[in-house]
Amino acid sequence: MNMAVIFRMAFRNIREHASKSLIVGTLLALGAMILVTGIAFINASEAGIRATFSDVYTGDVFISGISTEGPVSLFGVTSPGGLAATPTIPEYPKVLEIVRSMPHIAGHSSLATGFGTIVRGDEAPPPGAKKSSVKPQDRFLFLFGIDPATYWNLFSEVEVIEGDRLKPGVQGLMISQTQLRNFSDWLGRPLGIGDRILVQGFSSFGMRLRELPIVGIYRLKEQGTAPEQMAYIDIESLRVMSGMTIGANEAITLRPEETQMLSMDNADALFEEDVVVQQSASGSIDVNAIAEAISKSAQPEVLKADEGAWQFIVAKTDSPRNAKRTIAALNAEFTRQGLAVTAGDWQKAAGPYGQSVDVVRIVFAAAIIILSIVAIIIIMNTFVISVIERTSEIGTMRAIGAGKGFIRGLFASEALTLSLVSASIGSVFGVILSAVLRAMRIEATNQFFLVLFGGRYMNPIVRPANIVFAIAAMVAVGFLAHLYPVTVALRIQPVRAMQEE
Amino acid sequence: MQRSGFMPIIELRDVKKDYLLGKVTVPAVKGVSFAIERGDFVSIAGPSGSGKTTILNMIGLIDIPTSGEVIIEGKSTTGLSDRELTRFRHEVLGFIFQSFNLIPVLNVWENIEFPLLLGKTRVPRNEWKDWIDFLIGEVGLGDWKDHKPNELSGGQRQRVAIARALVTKPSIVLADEPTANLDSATGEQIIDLMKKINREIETTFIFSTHDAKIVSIADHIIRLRDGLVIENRRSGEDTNGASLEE
Repeated sequence: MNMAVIFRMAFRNIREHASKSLIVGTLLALGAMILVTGIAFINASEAGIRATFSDVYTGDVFISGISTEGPVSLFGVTSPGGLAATPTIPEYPKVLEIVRSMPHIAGHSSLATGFGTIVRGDEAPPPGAKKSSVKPQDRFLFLFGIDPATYWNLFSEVEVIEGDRLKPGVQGLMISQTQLRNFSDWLGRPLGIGDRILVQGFSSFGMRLRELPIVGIYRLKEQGTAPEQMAYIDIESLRVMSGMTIGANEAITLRPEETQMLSMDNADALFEEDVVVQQSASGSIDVNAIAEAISKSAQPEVLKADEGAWQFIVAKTDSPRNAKRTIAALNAEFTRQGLAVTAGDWQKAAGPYGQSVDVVRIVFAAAIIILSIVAIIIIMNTFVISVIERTSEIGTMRAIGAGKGFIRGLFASEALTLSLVSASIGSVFGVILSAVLRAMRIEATNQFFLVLFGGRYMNPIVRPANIVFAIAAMVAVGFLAHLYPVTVALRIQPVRAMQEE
Repeated sequence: MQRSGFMPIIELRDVKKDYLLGKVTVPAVKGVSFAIERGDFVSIAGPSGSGKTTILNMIGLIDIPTSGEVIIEGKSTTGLSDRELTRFRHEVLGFIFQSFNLIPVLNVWENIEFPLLLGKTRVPRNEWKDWIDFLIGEVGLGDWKDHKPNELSGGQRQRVAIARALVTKPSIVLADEPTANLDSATGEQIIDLMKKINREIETTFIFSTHDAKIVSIADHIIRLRDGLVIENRRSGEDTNGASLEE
């Protein structure tokens, strides 16, 4: 059978049954338009998020130690309990040397991160001060312990609006305007550059206090991609507060009686007579001494920071296109040298924050699947009606010698022709719609739209591959929708040709 | 009645056809046997419900007998697969339908050409173009070949159907009440055309009708009533098969 004849008949049948073709065609065109525009949004979101994350704090390449507890990101280890320690980079100098040897690395910086919260020291709120409305989570800090010598060259999107950037050898904090406002409110006193605040760091090794001056107030040029709780801190203070101190995880030798206490499986036994607990001579608890001890724990001379300890290296490549290649090369080299280190992309670095692209994609994919199923059902029903109307015609064809293959081919070519034409038209509309939306420069009004737009303005990006995908997807929808009607058509016996229309 | 020395092109042996209507079995054909000779112009006549169309459908291999045997060109059609039946219909049989049944999206020329496109054998396009043009000339539609079926009169449509039935050069053409949807003058013209082609290219024509005037043109008349053959005679023979001229 000549395929040209089948397609000619298919095309004419589409024209002949114009109203049904219009219903099916409109659905398919609409589907293609939604796909093209939707993917254009995902492209924009992905490119925008990648660029802003990469420019603000993740870089293109992210190197970390390996944790058995879960994936490692700049925000620690994502583990079931949430208490796993972020590993430091083992054999850091060797790793750094490998990073520097990579041909496409344009710049790099080392850092460590931790968590903290603003606390009050012995200062009481001023008399008559009203109770602060600042929530505990607004006092929370994602502490980025940075190497100022290299960090600011790498991340120029961090803009200092008051004070100064952290400098090498200077201890202190750089906080955002929002944080400054919240902390001032909570502490009940206006804060400014040079003011000292008490930060309580917490990690799997416990809690540590540190009083630090505010050295700068920052703003991100592209808001919305980094967590609002992000604050920059000098690496020495971070190491102390996060337990990255020499001896922090060394083995503790217990005295025999301490070991005996630990081995007791009955807590009541602790209070039995043979357990001797020595009290101080005065017999009272010295609160001042405890406070002094806590205060001293925050002193660097008490807990010596591990000066060589870095948790991460972030790097930028000469072009984002080279990131993947560089990551692969780094991982190959780490494996070759037996280093327990891994390289990943910006999304790995951003951890839960980088998953917003995946969320957008998953939500879009789910919407498309639901729409496709609805479209398939509607199109299928329309095709079935068409088959029923053409019962006599199909019977005639079968009677005069058309095999089942011909009938199958005829309906398949009708479905494919209609899908292809409609999807192509829909794709053109999708391209036009994307261009119009881009030209309108609609501004993102909240965090969701910032993620969706991939920046401050709606900027859907249409790529040729997306158009091809949209057309192929709609042709697949059309093809799937015709399968059941074809089985209905194939059940029509030639004898139906003899029946009066 | 079969004449001595002639091989039947079609033979029905005790053919029965029952239809199931709900839980009731309705016998449409109750055991019919007859033979048709090559090149005959055969009329299957009878009132509505006598089983004409059912018999024609079984000869045309678009319906299967409940029992009995249909033999075409010496070959039993019992047990043939769907593919074999399709091939048989395409190569041996041509159909003319009461409602013309033209493909609405194809014009006159393309409708006539259509059965040729279904064949497996490749015929040079020039060769079949000449043949289609010849058939269009034969049915008198030379000026209408680019027209769609909905632009033609009933008689013209049936002429197209005749040409389409002949295009694959079948040995048998089956026509189910070909004049039923036509006025009497056009009906006569159609029957005359079929008769003319029957004479010219010696195709066996079998048509069903309840029009007594048309029946009389046939070489061989098979008359049915209530699913049984009540008369089976050649033109010029009496009901017992004896020649009326003798």
